[in-house]
Amino acid sequence: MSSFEPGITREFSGLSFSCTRNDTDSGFVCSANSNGAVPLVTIDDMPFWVVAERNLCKTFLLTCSAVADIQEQVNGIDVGTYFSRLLPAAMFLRWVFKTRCWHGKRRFANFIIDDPPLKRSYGYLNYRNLLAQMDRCEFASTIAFIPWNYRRTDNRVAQLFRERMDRLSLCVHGCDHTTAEFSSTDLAVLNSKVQLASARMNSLERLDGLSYSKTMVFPQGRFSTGALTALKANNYLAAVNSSPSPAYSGVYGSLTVADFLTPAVTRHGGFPVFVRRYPAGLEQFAFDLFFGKPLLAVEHHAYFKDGGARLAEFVTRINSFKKLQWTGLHDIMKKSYLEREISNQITACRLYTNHHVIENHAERDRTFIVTKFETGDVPIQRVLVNGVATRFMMIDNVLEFATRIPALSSTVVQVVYRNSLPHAELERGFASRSHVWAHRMLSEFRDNVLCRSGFLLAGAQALRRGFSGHGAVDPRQNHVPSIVNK
Amino acid sequence: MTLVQPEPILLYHTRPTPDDVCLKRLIEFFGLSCRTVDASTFDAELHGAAEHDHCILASAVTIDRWCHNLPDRAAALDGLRQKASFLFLYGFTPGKSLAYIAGRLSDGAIEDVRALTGA
Repeated sequence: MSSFEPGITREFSGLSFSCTRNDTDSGFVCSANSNGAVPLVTIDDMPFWVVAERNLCKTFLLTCSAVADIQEQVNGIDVGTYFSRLLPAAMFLRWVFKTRCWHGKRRFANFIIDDPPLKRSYGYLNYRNLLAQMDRCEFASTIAFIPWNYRRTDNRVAQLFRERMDRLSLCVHGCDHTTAEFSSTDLAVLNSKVQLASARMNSLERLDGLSYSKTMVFPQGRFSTGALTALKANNYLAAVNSSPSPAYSGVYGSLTVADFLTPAVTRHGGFPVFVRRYPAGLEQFAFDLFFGKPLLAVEHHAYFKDGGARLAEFVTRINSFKKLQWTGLHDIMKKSYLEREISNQITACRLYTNHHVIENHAERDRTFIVTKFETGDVPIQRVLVNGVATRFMMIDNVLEFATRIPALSSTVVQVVYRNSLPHAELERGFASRSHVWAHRMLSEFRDNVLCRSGFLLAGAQALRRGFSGHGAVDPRQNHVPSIVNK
Repeated sequence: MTLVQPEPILLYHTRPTPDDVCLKRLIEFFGLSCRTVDASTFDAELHGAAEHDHCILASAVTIDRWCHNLPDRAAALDGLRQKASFLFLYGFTPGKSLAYIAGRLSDGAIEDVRALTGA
């Protein structure tokens, strides 16, 4: 990707990655005298997308013979596969029509670390070292905290979180973090699970003064559409997951390319699922930022095995994106919305979570026409604008209202849902509690002891191979044996 | 004062191809209204337009067919650039005719279109 026209190629400027699709892509042969034509993208040293300017006309010439169908059903988007059919046209439209296109005003980033309790160290993760690294490399992290651990917090670590909320924040990671606990289809069980997780997190807040984001990271990334309904009914902001697809989509149907081009996927009941990624090529994160998504990276404690060297290298590369704002997940969820200018006075605004801070960056008052996709599966109790109930309309599964925001100020919008889901009595007997306790202790033994010993790790892997008949280990877990699921 | 850009015009020949339809969907996905114009009425559209007033998107094949029957292809392409402020043309595949259009619209900077040989 060229870096000569960053206004056009935006987040992709200067990146190199594999994206050839020989069946649709060709290359231009250019003369030595370019006559003002600038290659924006080259493939195998051949210009693939060129812009030429003459008088007051800018002409964009693209060799790719296909355009991506945003209604195509997909499970995910690989940037290399879709780039040539999607990004040049999208870049052209964004560049020409600027604020008239749906766009996000900010570029957010956060590094999410799954599982660790708030102890001084967990596996290879040490909070003081992490904080020092965040200060050195300029980034912010969110701990996906397992609510079961709410009474096991080290006071000094809690103090660290309280003092450095600019760098450290918390969100909710399951409830007990047992296998696929949010894959159930039983709404009563899911509702009670979410409430138990919330109660534990509220206790953490009360006991240790630690606030948290009502954002759910699903254990093992597995969830059902019912889990999203339960989160919505309990007024959670959003879910964050590596895949936005539930175990079974049911009546909501499969995801399409278009679902992956918005800040969050809302197809399943209107509840937003934000996608996060393991550290990988910058093009994947450039893609997210281009379409107004927050840049959300995820890892586990084993990523710190090298003392944070890989993390430092990754963050340095990520920070090459201009105007990136590292902040807590809560802040990100509240400010990740899209807007587009309809006129000098009117802006359309598309919300994703149930709690947003809408910012008017203009030096004049503006009316915001606010919309949010709703399916009606969870009733709306009220819509609050700066804490005051406001009237709204529902038109074809879209909640809509207008609000005037003074110049250079912001407005807080909350959609409050009524929880009319059934409740279930969760198993909290001795056997159940012992099972959860054993599960958690085994997990911690794995992360604190096995992972840190090459000899024991090899032994555990051999044992697992013996029991399961295969030795496949998820490479993302950095050769962590699956005594229990992550 | 905000500069008001023209609305995008998607040009097609006879009927929109599946890729034209996909491009229209993408335009609308961004919240923009998209006007589609048949190449057979495009001359009249251009004739009535002020200079540098249009944002036009089309496949290279559509442009090729549009100017194929015109007496002076070069003048037609120059006229297109005279009336448009932004042109987005996709689908330049190997072949003399499309290479000519690319060359003309880039003031000779593009000499040819070739298949990619890389894996």
